[in-house]
Amino acid sequence: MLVARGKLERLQAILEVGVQKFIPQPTALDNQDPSIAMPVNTYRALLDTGAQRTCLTNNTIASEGLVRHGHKFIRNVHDEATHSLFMSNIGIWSDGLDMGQNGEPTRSHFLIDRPVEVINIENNSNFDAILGMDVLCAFSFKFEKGGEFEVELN
Amino acid sequence: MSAIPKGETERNYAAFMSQLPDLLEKFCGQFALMHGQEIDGFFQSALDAIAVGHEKFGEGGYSVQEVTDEIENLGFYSYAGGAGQA
Repeated sequence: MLVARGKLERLQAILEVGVQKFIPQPTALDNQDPSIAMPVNTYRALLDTGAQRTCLTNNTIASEGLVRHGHKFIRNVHDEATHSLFMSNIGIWSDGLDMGQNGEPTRSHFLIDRPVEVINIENNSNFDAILGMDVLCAFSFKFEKGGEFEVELN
Repeated sequence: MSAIPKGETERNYAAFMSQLPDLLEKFCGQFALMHGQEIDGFFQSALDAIAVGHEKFGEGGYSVQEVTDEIENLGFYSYAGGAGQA
């Protein structure tokens, strides 16, 4: 079983996630074509059960070279604004139960099985992404009194 | 905020918003694929529309808008977030 573990930071649940640009596959792609390995960069994501949609900061979007495909009108307590929409692949870094050669838990990237349509948000110093319920509803969670938490990924 | 280049998607969005009241009756919940400020077709998911748009118009040459007038809640960001998106 793969689990992602974390500890509350200032009462915020932060996990490490991987973000990659989503590239639609050509319909005529031959299965003999060589696959391309892309590096997975790591970002800090706030788990937010109050958010209906996953968000990435502008810096994260720029770093991954995501290309806007639409807009969305969003209202918050301060104002209302038009945000941009991007499609991306998102995964969660986890510690598996299998032990590596040196006895440390193996670290793996659990890729969510479908691209995620995300909204851009302002940069901030605490996190690079907000994982909303569009992603979180696929997983089980456990929060402990001491502040530790686990997300079961499979 | 950082500069994200504007162009096709912004022009399409303006055209889409002007048509939205009429679209809601017939296409609510569907996703409009747009190119050149015109609607190219409607799809059941954003992903379906993006796949077709990417193949027909190339990256950055199209946009996809959901036919809806619902306002989404962004949780933490809705209550503590900032302003000035684009």
